[in-house]
Amino acid sequence: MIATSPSDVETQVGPLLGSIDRLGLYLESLREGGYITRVLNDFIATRGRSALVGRDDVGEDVIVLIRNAQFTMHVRTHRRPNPTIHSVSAAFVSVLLGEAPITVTRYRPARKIDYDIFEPGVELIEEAQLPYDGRFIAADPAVHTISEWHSPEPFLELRLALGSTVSQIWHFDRATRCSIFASLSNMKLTGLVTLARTFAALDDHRSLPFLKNLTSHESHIVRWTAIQSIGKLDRAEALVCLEAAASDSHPHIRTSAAKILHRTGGGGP
Amino acid sequence: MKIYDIETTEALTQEAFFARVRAIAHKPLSEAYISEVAVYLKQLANNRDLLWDHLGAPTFDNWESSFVGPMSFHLGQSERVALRMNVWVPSKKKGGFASWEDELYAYGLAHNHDFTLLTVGYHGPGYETDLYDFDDERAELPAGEPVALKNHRRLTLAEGAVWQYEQYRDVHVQREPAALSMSLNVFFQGEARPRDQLWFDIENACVAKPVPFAAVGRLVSMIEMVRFVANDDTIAVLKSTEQSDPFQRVRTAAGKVLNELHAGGV
Repeated sequence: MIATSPSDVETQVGPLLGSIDRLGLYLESLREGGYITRVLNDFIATRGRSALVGRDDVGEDVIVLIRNAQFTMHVRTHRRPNPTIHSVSAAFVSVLLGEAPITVTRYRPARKIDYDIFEPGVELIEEAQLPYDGRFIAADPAVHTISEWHSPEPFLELRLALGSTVSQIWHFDRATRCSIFASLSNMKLTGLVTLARTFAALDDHRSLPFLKNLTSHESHIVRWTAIQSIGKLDRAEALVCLEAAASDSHPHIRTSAAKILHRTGGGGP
Repeated sequence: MKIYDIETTEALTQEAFFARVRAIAHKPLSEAYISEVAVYLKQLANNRDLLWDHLGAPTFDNWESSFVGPMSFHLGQSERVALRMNVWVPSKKKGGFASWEDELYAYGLAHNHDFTLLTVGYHGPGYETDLYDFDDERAELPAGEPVALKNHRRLTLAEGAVWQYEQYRDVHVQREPAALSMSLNVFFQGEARPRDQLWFDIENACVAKPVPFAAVGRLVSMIEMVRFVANDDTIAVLKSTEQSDPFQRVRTAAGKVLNELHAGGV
């Protein structure tokens, strides 16, 4: 399959989305077929006005080739290790471009973890260091290993990532290899949290129905932010939400809701 | 920094704002033109229902289509002007690392813009900014180059304040707001960018480095990327870039990659 435009790539990827192996082989074919070269050549020749990539899709070391509801595809230059070792939020498949000598280091958390429930101090154990063989690499948050690529030279990665399946990315300190913080895994969650906080700051009751809907969102971070925002807008409504939250599926919400209810004298008949 | 003193209680809808902007679209991008847009922006900020209307209250079905960044909503654009709402939040330090809010808003990082930005405080106490005048007109300045940063002052973008960040001239360091704050920002389409955007080292009065994700930095980055996947067309593109790009930094990057490709037998 020859791709000459972003729409070609979207059309070609669509039928492959159910199979990581087929996506991996497709990325290998994109690498061999010169599509990435064409995108970069055009970007340079047009001084950033290429029709193959949007202006907002180019960053310091990254060029986003496709971004849609099902997947994103980007090319990234790796110049130095990330400040932290981090987990992934979505299944993805990658190929490397170029000739740099790459080592893949594989870690696993010292115990089984739920990425949606962050805990500081969880240790990461190095499992293996393997040479990169040129074939595609796949990762999935459902598989608890974390892989990192290392090279003494910069290298280029082509990655296709599916939608996030966990709401947080865990970050591990590189020196101690212990978890130190978590960040939100995708733009939609970030947007909902931003919106909930903004509505609270605007102190306008028109946002209450929307915020109440968010208290049943699948992400516990969104649910808790919505409850906090409701608390700033309407105390009575917040108590109702907290009573429901006392039996939330997420332990942090249950604990926090119970504490607040205890402090305020709510939570019982 | 141009600080406007606009007295008006008229409140515009988003549609009315763009209608007024379109009515003056024939005018050149000048101080007079920007001053007119500043009045309309102030009037738009007088509309306290702006966000509710834009996001489609009470269902807010439009929120996702207008959310463009970790803290920005795209409110609309015309041929000449793009309008965004920015949400500014206090930062949260995590484990000794700069928080993502710090990085996102460049809190604490001195920089200028390679574009003109018109802004109005919409809600909240507003961010503070340390401001310096920078009138060096050289197109490119390398890291470590001494610079004169003059007339330091600290301002707060309070509700209703209208500021114009002048292209290249206004070096500023954003400080986090005391509480969540919102601003409306106008960007002007098609503005020429004859100079590089810079980060500054205030303490040592020098350039910290060119901003790597600004227009020139991104071009350099893409040139550095293409060496991994170069073909014959790449050689031609890089030769042309090396000979004719207006920025020395870009020409140097193209030349360097060409040499590497030649050494590697491409």
